[in-house]
Amino acid sequence: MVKYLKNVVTLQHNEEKCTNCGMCVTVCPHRVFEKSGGKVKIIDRDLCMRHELSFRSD
Amino acid sequence: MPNQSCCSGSSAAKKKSAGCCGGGTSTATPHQLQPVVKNQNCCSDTKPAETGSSQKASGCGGAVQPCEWISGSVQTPVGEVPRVGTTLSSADVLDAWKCRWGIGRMDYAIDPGLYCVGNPDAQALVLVTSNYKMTFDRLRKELSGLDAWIVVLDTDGINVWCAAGKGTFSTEELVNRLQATRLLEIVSHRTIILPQLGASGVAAHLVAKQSGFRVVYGPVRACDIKGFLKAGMQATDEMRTVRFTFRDRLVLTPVELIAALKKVIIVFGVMFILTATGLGQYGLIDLYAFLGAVFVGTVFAPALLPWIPGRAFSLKGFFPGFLLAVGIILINGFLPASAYNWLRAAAYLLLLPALSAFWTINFTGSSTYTSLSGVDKEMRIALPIMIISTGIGAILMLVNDLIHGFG
Repeated sequence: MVKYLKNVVTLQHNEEKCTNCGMCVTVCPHRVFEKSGGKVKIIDRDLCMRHELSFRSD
Repeated sequence: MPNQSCCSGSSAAKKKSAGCCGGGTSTATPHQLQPVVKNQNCCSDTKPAETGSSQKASGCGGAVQPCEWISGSVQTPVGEVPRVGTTLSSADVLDAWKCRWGIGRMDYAIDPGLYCVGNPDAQALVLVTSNYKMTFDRLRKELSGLDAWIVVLDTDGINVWCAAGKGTFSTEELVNRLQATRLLEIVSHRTIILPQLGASGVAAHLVAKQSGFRVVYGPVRACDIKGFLKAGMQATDEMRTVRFTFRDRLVLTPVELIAALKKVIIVFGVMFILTATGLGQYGLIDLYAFLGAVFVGTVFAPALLPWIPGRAFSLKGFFPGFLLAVGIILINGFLPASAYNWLRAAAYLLLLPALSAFWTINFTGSSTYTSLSGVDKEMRIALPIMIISTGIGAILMLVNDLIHGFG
């Protein structure tokens, strides 16, 4: 996979607020997240394109 | 200026033709009734009076011209629902091709509402999509042999991913559309399948709360829908991953090429006037030099993106633009010649790579992997350099004209 610039991604994972529902793992088209052992984590942050309105919690 | 991810483009004054979305204010009126098509005529004036949307279905241009992609209707408890075919006609293919070249692309929409394929009943699948006709065609083409309902959201004729980013493929629009189509009365189950790339605009838990329907995210590409269904509504990792293949990139280049050509014509106009009035001497070389820079920046670099060094799109556009300039200079034997030619050569070296870099940055708006924060950073660094380089190059051209004209 071609990658864009390094360290420009604003994506953050707040472990305290995360309910580990895994929706991010399902919907992310660049497979940035992974769920293992019931915990969600970011596996490759630089792959994120941070589509503007993603993951609004409203 | 690039409009990031085809839509948001918050940092740039956006040209309608440059991205996949363009401007267009939403005309969506909540609680529209479904476009009940009674006489197989999607452009008829028998639509519900409440419908506030303008007639958008292109490919059904005239007032009474029948809409060939609608083939009959299915009777439901709430009325007739138009059935659409699962094969694309030559007109569908031609219209899609025209969109790729920027013709009629900002107005290629169908009426939102409920449609179906096959003979769906109360247990049939429900698929949700956008009202960009190309998107809708891509979907129905993959549904041969299936009986399914299709809920088309009003996304202003924008594809699912861009519309989700823009906020038109949204929780609100989905909930309103489900209500307006009275889907609750048509199907007995409570599951709807959304395209995965619509996820950024939709909060699935709120849809469930407000509409009663559970959202399942299908694959990224419509061509994987049958595989997804066969696996019991499970998508593989591959189905969930967005791609950007050579072909994917190549089909996006004509729109960029046409948009760039429209701007370069102005440069040619200036050159023509300068030449005609005797103030400058421009000819065939300048013509193909600038056309070459356009082609390199809008087609060559985007198509060969992964194989050109660098991560920044500006660099990916700069390198081949630089080679182009060197090539043109060598072919035309500028180097060993007089000061006149040295100036022109220097101008080319400053102008052509900067221009091709600029147009390649534009392609970040079409790419499937560039982030807005990244493009912002790239623009902050590359844009001043490109402007200065282009400015000095243009001045050298004019100085060259002066020397040649009066020297």
